[in-house]
Amino acid sequence: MNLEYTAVGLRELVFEGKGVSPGLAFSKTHVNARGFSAPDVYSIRVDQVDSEIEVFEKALAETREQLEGIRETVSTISGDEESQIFEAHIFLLEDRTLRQRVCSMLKDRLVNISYCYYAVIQGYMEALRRVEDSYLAERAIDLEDVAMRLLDNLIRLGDKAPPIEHAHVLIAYDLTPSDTVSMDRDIMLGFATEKGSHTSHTAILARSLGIPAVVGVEDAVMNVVGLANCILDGTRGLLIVNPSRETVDTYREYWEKEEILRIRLKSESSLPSETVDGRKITLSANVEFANEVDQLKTNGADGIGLFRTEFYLLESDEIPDEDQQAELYKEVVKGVSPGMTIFRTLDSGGDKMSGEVLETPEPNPFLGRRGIRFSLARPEIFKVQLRALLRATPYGKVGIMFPMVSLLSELERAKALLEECKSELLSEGYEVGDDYQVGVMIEIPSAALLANELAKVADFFSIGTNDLVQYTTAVDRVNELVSDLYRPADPGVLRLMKMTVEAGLNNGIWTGVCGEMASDIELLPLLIGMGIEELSVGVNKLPLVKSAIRKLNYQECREMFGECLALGKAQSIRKRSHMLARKAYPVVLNHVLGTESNE
Amino acid sequence: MLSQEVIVKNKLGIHARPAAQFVKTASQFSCDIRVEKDEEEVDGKSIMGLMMLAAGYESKLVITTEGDDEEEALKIMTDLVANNFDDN
Repeated sequence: MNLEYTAVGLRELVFEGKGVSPGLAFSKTHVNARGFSAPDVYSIRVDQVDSEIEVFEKALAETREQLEGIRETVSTISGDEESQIFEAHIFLLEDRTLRQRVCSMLKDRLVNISYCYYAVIQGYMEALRRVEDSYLAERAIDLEDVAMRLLDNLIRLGDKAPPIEHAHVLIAYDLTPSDTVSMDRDIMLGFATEKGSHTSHTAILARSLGIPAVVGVEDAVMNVVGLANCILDGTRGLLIVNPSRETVDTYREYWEKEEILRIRLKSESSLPSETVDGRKITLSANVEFANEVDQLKTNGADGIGLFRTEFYLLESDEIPDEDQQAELYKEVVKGVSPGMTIFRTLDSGGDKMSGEVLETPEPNPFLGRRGIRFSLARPEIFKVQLRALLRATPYGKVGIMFPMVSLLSELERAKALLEECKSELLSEGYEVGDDYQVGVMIEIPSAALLANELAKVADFFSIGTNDLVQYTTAVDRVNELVSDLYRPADPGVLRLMKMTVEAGLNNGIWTGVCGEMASDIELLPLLIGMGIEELSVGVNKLPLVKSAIRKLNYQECREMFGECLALGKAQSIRKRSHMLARKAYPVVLNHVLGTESNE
Repeated sequence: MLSQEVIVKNKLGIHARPAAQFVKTASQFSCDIRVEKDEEEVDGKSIMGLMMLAAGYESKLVITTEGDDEEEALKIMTDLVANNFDDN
């Protein structure tokens, strides 16, 4: 742990948000102000000052030219009176005090010129907005207009943020999933955003990467400067900038305790995943990046229960071709063997990857062309993926799983396409394994209600609890206004899950859980009790979940689950499960509470 | 160094356009031109400074000039304010 004390005189700033991925990061801030029409902030070297000023001068000149052009046009159309405002804009643009302040900030702070300009302008605008005369206050807009024009030019003229090279905590207004994919995970130690919720995709990603994240941190982008010391506490939902000596010492102590627990859990991770009374639970990992595969075995995974292919497929502008896909799938399968790798086919749409390359926006993407619906509508994309997956089957145990299935016919059509691909491949001379399994994600209520029919055509079920909860209870998990109504222990949801497990048993197929709920150790007794045979969790959660499984008694869980079916409220169900969990693993439960209880 | 008090008479106060007029006129002189309002003094050749004064209708300004052409500058600048910056 590398922790610096903040220089005397800098005030400690504490921002409260919602911790969505536990853990601690001690680092420097990096502020990404995109989406706020403000530039990125990064530091420059002393020898770059002159070239920054040069770019600034160039941008000023170009902006002046643009403004003069506008003034002339307006003057021709509407006369001098109207065009005078653009003359005023030119004066604002070239104001010497403003320029001096920007340049001295550049030299003193050694941060990029665009940010200096932005910060100086913000200062002026703030002052103007505070003016009592409301007309004058409103005219801050003139300044904003000029500033935005100059910033556009500045950024276009080469104020390009260099790749960040220092370890940092990213502070941003919001992150798109593609932002999170492209970030350098070796140096990004955590992130704090103004938007987002516990179940938004970026939060899920943070948990899967095992880095702390805090969302709902109001005003952080405006008030935090780049390169400040900070502590990000994803467990308590705090971002502390310029931490005081006392704060640092407190956190150091806390961090050491966490470390001890983490090491203890990890030391047990190679033990078998079974309950005290001997029920075996397959413990697998949710994975999105091929490089996570290395950590599976050290963290005690039996295999991959969910390989999310959309990150890989949609990461670059073009979808990788069949050979490229086949190569990646093969490497993953070989890396995980003798364990099983379950690939989920492209799950685009909803809050997932942008899909911009593929789709025009839908009015309600969550009820739109997501998952298998997209794949079936675009067989030219789907078949490439299916063929590539089949080509990986000779190298180990492979599961192919379809997301967002709501109808029996969708599963049938997907399977028919898979068969078609298989015979094509065989006739082309490729080898295809015989023992791959075809699975269905159960994440839509109609699929759970139809589980008995689906089970006759599928080899396994994997319950995607995030979507199942959202579709069953009609709660948008990203909407902060209702996210407190998002309750995995909802009795309706539990009944659908139970139906799924029973339909599976009746037809001789197994049921797993790959949603967030699988790593909620407060609810783990419920999942074990309802007869779930496989759990798939984020790589960093594996040791925790395994340790919990090993302390539970299957028979006790079964009885408890049976009693819960008579309860009508999520809170009471969670409480029952909590009591059992508390009895079995009080220390680990304490460790995670505070971030994980939604109910 | 010369100074003179003047009252802002245009209804909308010194917003961007009159401020620009002021700066444009002031820049024709070589002398220093400063504008003071409520003990806050700014550079009369900087539009930002003038706007920051937030000089609304009927606010009292003191214009100070210092340099070779200070006399002419003071007259022209006070006239400009008194004549509503050729604004409304």
